[in-house]
Amino acid sequence: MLCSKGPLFRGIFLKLMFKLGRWLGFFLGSLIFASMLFFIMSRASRIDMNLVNYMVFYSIALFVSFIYAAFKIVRARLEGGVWNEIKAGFHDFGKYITNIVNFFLLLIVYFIGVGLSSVINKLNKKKSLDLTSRSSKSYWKDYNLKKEKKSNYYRQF
Amino acid sequence: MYVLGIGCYYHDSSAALIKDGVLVAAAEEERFTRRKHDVSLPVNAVKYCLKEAGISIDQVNYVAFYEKPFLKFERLLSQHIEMFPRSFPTFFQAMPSWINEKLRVPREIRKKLKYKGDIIFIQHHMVHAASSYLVSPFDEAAVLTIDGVGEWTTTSYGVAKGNDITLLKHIEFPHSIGLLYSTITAYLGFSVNNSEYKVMGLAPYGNMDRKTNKFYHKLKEVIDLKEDGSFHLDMSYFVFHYKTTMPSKKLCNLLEGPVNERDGPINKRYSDIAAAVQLVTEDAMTVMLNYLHKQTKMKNLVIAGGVALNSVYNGKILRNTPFKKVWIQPNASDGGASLGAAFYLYNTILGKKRVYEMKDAYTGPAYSDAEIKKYLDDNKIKYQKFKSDDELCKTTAKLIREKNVIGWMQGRMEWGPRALGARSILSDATNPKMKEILNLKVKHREKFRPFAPVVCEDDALKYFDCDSPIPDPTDFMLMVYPVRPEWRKKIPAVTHVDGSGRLQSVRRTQNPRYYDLIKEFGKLSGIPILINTSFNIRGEPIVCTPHDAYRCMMGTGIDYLVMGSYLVRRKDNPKDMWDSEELAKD
Repeated sequence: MLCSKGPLFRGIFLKLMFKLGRWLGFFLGSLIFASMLFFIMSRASRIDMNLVNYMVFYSIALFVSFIYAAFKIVRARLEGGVWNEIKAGFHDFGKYITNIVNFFLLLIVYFIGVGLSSVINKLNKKKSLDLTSRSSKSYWKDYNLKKEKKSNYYRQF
Repeated sequence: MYVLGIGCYYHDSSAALIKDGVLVAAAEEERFTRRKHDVSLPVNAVKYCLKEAGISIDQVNYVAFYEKPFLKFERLLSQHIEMFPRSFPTFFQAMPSWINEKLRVPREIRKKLKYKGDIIFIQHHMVHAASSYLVSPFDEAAVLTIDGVGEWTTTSYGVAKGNDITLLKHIEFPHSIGLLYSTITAYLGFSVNNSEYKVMGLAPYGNMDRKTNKFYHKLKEVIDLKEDGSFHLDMSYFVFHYKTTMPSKKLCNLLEGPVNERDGPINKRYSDIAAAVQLVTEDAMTVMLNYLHKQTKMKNLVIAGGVALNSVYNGKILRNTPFKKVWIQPNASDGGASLGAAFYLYNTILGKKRVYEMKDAYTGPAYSDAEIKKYLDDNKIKYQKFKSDDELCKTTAKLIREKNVIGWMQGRMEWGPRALGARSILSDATNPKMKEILNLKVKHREKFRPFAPVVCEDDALKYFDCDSPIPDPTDFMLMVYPVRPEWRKKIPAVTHVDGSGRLQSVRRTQNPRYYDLIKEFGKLSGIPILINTSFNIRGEPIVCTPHDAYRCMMGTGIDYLVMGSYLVRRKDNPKDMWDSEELAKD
């Protein structure tokens, strides 16, 4: 119904369930991820794969995650069912980890791939982008874009 | 044969479906998701198009995509290589979506739409050209496409004959009239790719005299415009090629002050700057179009791209150039690209005969009286039913005359950014206070923004100094014309500060109920002109469903909702627990 909000106790109960759902999703996501990461790290290094080490590792991961999750939950809109909130919790955690991993990967790609290309271009005095406001007679460039062979249109370039 | 056009991942994603060369349905994704300018793959718009045609995705023969993603990615990489290392923040921001979605368009389409057939990729500006020309009434025309940026191209011109379009010359990124306009939009504190029309509305409050507007002369330093209409920007005034912001410090110094805060107060200086950028744009367009005519010697002109939504200049095209006819598609910017992609594939690539001409913009979902009644009954909404169209028009006209604000939801939803009498808010144009009332009750928008008039096509020349015959794009609210001086004081609510009006002309064949309502109102007021503004609150997309319309009415001060054959009075129903004013934003 468009205008009804339902009885007060039902609203509070649902709100609580939604919050718990999101927490649960986030908690499960972090548990799986931390376990996998700990397993990989313990294989790659000489960290013992014992419960104490895992608990320390997981506590740190969980602490950071909880702060992030708490922030997200405050902002979360309480829509949809509890399962949606659990999924949203998973999604939040996924985004959180993705952002961190992306940052480092893209940092490498940017400084090695883009940076190197840029240096080579500059050494060769080649321009990737025409930023000059040169004073030629006309700035129109030949385009001649017309109907091509059908097979060309299957390409994304 | 079914062809589905798709445009997405930049702004205003949309879908259009054609059957044997005739448009079946077209809609923008934002209307379904309720996220303004939604960029995502238009899953909901596609679903709607298929439903309208009564087919499943398996029956679609081709999907046409509105750009070549790898070419665009090449341009993006070129920007980063050229601007290394300053471009890292934008690189970091942009790359994830490129890696996850934009470089995987076929995979995304197949996965999310469950489509298994052929996918075709067409260059962005060719799609723009096709979106206008191939649905126009012309057999041949000169073509100008002009927007922010496509893959590399920002502006192009060419010729179109029969089914073929050739784009002869172009100007490449970063030199772009669209991006110059957007930069000033950002400078004035408005949102880019959204509020350019506000700059257009603000301009007449500034100094529109080329001789005395100092910012006009300053902005001319920024752009080197040649006699053939080609141009280059002085990029030291911009940072959009490596930052998410647009004006540089040098531009701020040139314009004598910092960037205005978001939706900050507008003073005379800002108005003069808005006037200056409008004048510079008009100069460039005039030179470009005159050169285009010289090159092509054609009588007909079609324009497409975001800049083609500059209705103030559109109204001057036939007066400033030798072209005799002009045609612009109602959804001329990227939102309409899906339509261009579908028609280019069908008519040009497959070489099928052109059989469709776009005569109205009603291509979206419609709701039958039975569906509306079910919605009203299910939600226990009080209403009354009109017995006939005649009663509907007479009663609604009377309500408008009695200073009420009417939500008007009739038939198929419009295609494009303008409400054209299918999802409109209507009120009395002769009431001097109506602009204030509308702003207070519903729109909560900036005071400087004008409201648009709607008039029947056969009355338009009486009240407005239009080109004659009235160009077709006027039906899509794409032309601004002066209100004739003797009528300006009589229709104050729709007369802008410079005496102009962005009118919509209506033909009875397009929308009989709407046409009859305006005529009925004319009988009561003596002037058959209404205010027509989009049925939404600021920051939300135009309404689509009966629920959207009812919700919008209940959260605002709209007095009545005329939905199909039903009349809903706001006062008869419990007020919703939300306040549109609180939500009003860009």
